[in-house]
Amino acid sequence: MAGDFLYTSAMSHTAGRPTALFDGYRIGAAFDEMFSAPMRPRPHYKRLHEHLAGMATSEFHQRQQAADLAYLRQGITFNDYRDELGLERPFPVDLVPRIIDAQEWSRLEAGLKQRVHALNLFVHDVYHEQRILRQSVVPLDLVFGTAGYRPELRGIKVPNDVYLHISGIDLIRDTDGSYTVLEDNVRCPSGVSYVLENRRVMKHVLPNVFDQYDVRPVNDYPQRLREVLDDIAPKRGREPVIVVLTPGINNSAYFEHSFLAGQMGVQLVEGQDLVVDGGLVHMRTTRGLRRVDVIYRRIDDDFLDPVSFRADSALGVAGLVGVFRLGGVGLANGIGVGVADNKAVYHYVPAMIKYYLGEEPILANVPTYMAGSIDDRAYILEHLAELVVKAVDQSGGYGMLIGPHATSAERSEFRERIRCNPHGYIAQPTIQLSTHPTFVGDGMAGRHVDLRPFVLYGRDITVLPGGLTRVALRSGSLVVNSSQGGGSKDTWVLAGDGTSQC
Amino acid sequence: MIIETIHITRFTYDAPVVESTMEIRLAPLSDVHQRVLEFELLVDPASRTFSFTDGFQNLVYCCNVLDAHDTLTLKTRSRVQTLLANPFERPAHGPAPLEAVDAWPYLQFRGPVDAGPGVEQLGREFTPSSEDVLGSLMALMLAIHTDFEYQPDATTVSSTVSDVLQLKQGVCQDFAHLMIAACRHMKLPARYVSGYLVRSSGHENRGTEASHAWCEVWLPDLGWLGFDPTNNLVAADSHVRVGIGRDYTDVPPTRGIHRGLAEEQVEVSVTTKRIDATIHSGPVLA
Repeated sequence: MAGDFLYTSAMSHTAGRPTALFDGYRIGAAFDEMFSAPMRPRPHYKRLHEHLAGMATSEFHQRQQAADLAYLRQGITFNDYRDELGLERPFPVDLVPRIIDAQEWSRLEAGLKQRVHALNLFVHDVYHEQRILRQSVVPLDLVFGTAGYRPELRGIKVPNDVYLHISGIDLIRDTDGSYTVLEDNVRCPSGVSYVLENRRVMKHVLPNVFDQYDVRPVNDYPQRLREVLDDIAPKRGREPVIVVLTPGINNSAYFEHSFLAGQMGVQLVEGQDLVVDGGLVHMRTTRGLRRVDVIYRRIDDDFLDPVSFRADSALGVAGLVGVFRLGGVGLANGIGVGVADNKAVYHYVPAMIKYYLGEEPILANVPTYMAGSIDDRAYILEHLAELVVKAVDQSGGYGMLIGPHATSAERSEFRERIRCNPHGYIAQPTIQLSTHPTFVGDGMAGRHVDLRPFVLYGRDITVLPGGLTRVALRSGSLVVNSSQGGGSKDTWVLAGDGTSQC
Repeated sequence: MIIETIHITRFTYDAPVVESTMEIRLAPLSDVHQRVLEFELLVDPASRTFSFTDGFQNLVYCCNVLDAHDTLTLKTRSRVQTLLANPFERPAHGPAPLEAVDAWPYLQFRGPVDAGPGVEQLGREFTPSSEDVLGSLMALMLAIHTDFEYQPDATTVSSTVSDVLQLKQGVCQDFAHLMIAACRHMKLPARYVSGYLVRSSGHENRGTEASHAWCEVWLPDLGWLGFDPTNNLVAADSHVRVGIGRDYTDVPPTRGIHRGLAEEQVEVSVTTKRIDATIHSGPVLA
């Protein structure tokens, strides 16, 4: 299938004197992933740099166009909610891969496992003994006051006490290159389909580059996800019936929902395809009702069950919460897990790690000011122009103020919002995200990137090597969310140290 | 005292509907103050019901009627032995203290229990002296009982405390919410109780022919003590507790949804009676 868009390099050498890709590449104040100094690539990037440096800009351009076309044809798109027409926009892949060496990755992996382990214990604790609240390690108001906390779920029993089957932890690199956790996404994190598709397209469009490295594969993710889902099925003597529950084609991540269902070989369903009867969930089929054992739900709690939660939701399944409580169906992720990815609770994750695991956090948090505390609030209001302000209960780059880039009108609006609802906001210093060479049409330029690794929690915790590198395609922009005009990169985790020949 | 309750809820639709799903919170609870001897639930049309325990420890039945139907009838019958003869008697080993974590849900203003200026005033007026919390609560209950008119058509199931304060009328649910709001304003944990009240001879009690509601307030030496402002009664063995929550929205007797466009009508009938032979002691009057 790659054949119809793969350009051979012979075609691109027709232009007289090719311009080199890295001509004029500048390193700014941020940590550059590829270069430690101008034209000095880091050891694990050396071979990639050599290969690209030998390539003409026009040739790279053609390959980038081939990749863009492949994405458009595959329908790899992202819906932008703010677009009134609800248009699907392509989610562009940038062909310069991000490379993480083995040693660095093993530290990241350990840090991510530690974090998700603690977050899962936190969710369990909050819905059961509430030890961490009784001992005032995390403030009560903060946990009970968040929209993600569902008192309906107190005392819930789930298989193996696992609630966070799938999480996506957003990491950034500060100016010194140290990795920092920006955000935990434990409700319905999306993006993993791009990881798999980026890899597939990279292998076809830049096979020679790919072959020079021993890159850890990502294509077994659907199989691993399937195993995690199999494991939470109510015990029965046959292969469990699994479905992916999507809000429908208008959801921004619909492509991913259908992609994962297809890759796992399970049905993609909408709420209206499922019905509860006799304490079980059934799927309507042409041959009548068929029992469903596990639902990988990509619908937020609010819309999941119109009897228990929002009655006006037409997306969910009436009675699902009752069946879940009864143990008649497995849900991934569990209900009420939003209590762990609130931006205010985030501040306490290092404390959770110490409390539950008795360990020092491997990955640090970004310093966070809590508008709910009087001292922090005063600081935030005085330093709005330097800070990033975030609404506690929002995600995806919505409800956010980037102080240095905001107009004074936007700043006064947020000042007012913080005053009215201080517990609803936190602020963080503006962090200089790392940059990565990114193709911008006439050569390479540094663009800001982050990294969202995906963590699966089944019998053990595993991390998909790499994750989604999101890149802010606008010059200077620090917002990399797919819903805010970003693109992505293939992310290579090396099996060896990346400097030796394979 | 042994109390039998028969509770019939009948939904009628003016056009057939399908796939009714209903959560039913009508099963009395069992604890040190009451024992459920019998409980049955009949659903017509026949349904495979199941039950689960919700986040507030209430037993919830769930029924699904998938095929087309234009009526749905739920009939419950329960026999409950109530044991709380004297609610003012201190337990031998006082109650374990209510930790801040456990009190939190019962101290917040939310949903129908909103905090308006009227609540503040009520709270201020009855703020107890530290010696006599119970006396203040009795006075608060009496004030609600006296100043508000029992009027079934004035409010709806979704009326808020502000609405009730404005109307000066309401039903048991509204008065329970009002007392809860005043208590929360005074920083006393207060929770909502749905249930039944058995008629006692010689007293005109409200709420004996329908589901009843009152509230419980946490008192450090007595534990959760029930106050029924509709009847100006401290709850004892004439009250059968069914559901406990922060307010009505946690424990509606039924909550459901169906597919199909139709007007819904609901009829409810409740009969409660004592079926034991012991001499009637009567509720404890405030």
